[in-house]
Amino acid sequence: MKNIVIFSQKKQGKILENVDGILIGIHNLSSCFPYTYSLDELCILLQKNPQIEFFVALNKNILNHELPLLKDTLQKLKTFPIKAILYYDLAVLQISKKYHLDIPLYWAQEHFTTNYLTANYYQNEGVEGILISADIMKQEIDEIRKNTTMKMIVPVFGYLPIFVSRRRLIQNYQKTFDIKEKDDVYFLRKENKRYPIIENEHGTNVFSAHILNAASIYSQLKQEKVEYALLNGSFIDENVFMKIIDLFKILDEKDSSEVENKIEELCLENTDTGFLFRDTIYKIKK
Amino acid sequence: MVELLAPAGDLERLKWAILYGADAVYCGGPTLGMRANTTNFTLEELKEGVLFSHQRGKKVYVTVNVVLHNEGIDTLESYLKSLEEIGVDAIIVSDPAIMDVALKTTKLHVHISTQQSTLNKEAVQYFADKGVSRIVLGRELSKENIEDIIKHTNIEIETFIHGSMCASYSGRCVLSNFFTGRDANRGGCAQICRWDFALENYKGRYIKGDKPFTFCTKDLSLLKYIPEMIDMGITSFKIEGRMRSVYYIATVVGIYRKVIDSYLHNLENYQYNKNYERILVNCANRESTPQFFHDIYDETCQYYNGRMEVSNQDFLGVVLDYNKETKIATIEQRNYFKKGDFVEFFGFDDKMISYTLDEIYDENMCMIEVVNHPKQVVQIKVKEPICAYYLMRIKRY
Repeated sequence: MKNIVIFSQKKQGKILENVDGILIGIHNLSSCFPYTYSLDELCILLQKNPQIEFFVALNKNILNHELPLLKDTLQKLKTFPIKAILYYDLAVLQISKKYHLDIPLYWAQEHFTTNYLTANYYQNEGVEGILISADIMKQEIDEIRKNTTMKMIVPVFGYLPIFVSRRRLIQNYQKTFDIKEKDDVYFLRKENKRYPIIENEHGTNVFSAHILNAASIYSQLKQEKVEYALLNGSFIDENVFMKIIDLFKILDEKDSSEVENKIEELCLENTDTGFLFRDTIYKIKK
Repeated sequence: MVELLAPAGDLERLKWAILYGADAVYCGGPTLGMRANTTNFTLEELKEGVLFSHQRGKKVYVTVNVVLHNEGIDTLESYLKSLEEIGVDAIIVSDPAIMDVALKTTKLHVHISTQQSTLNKEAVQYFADKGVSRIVLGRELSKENIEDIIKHTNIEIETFIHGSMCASYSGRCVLSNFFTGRDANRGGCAQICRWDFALENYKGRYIKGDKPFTFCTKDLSLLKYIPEMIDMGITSFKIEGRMRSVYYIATVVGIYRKVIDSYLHNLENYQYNKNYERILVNCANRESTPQFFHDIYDETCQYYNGRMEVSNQDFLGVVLDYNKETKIATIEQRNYFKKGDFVEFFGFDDKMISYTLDEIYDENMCMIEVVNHPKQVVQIKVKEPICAYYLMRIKRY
């Protein structure tokens, strides 16, 4: 299993020396990335790091006026040595098919990638891989693995995207109450938990309060031949993230609970295992 | 002819929606629908609802729009076939695998749910190419966006015209999962977007406005723009609210029915009735705006009042029966009312009867002054003929 990462900051520092791949967002076409890149910047990164597998997330909800940009970007990316494009909006799939772009695509509708039937549907559509939802249990991930040959990316570390809006909710609040403050990242506080919230001209994204720490299932995922583990460094100090990447690298040699505890320590005890071992409620009885 | 599509949280509300002028209703079946805490229909109830609707020339669409998990896969095909056997007119799905199974194994029409957040002509065309009948567009689109999609695709388009808004793109919010453990994409949404939060900067300093931060948005209302939306060629106008009361359903459906009909019957001389707008605002008890239709989604669309939602008290009772000879209406109470109140009876026809309550009788025809017990049945003399399914509300305007 290879480790792919989302950078903790725009300058990658030494992170690229220690990972197999990266997942990046592109200006105006990506959601839930604190930092996005231009195609020119991506091009430079690709040239400098030929050993790294590059995944590009075009995971924004697309509006009609953005279709020309999307088409143009897809056509350019076709010529780049990237591993795959992760998509949310079906326009990405439709344009790829319509113009026979033949780019490897990964289905990445973050809360919808929850079953193998839909994974296989998209595989029949020519889609190569799936970014597994962080909202499902470990046993569901196992079932998907057993029932599809799609390549799988499973989130194992990081803050999780939990809300995407077209509305600029921070700006709306600040305008209403005449608050003049500009920051890259804010936090929503509720019941002593802090949820990172970011905003750009395309809307607002909110992330989980706790950092997913799935070190305990990492070895199992590897045994089950999951292709990629995703470590999201967003809102994490670069030095801490570097250490965490190292810890995931030595998971095979070390006891997973030891690694899990070290990660917990590094993240100031703000981690959990998300929904890997607890199901959500979906039948409310009256 | 444009379709008016109403929510039906249960069989009772299905009937109210149809009687008050909906051309079609959408409702959840026993499984895989997106409203876990409505009283979803059993297959038997669906059958009765379909029969009731079809007898009146109306349609029933069933939501099968949850995010599919592995555990729902085995029973999916048989469930879809049972919906086909019942005779539902279409299913509303968000998951393309459900679409695929439905199209391959049944003759059901398939509509793509707003949960998929279909917002552009390429995505619309993707689903059109697969053979679905209709797309329910995402709510983030402007008039120009919708026009562009209709112009460049050849498929039925459905848009929301009234009701609550998600603060997020539909399907991209799991606040409920993380705050309460209730799965937003499997019908458990706990409306966390209406909660208040403290907003902090990176250093933990409180960013303080006069009211707390919230995602909460005002409701959607496009009543004023119905004529231009009809002219745009939208196939179906959808009203949100499967969990709303019969009063809400009857009021909102009835008013949109009147507006649609009055425009279609009088294209040249149609005039907007401001009174309808006032009734709708009062009925929902929340402010509304055209939202994205005018490409405005700024601070004017947000709710920062930090208030508790207060339930509407205007709805006084349901007419169970009317005796034409004695002119006595039998009414089931829904909110407190009393002798001397100025009330209005309205039904699914155009009739509205304003009336001061001079005499109220209990079930034994003993005169009473106040009606203050939930679902209390009383008798009231109403000189003009009304009938069952009429509603009684406080007359405000």
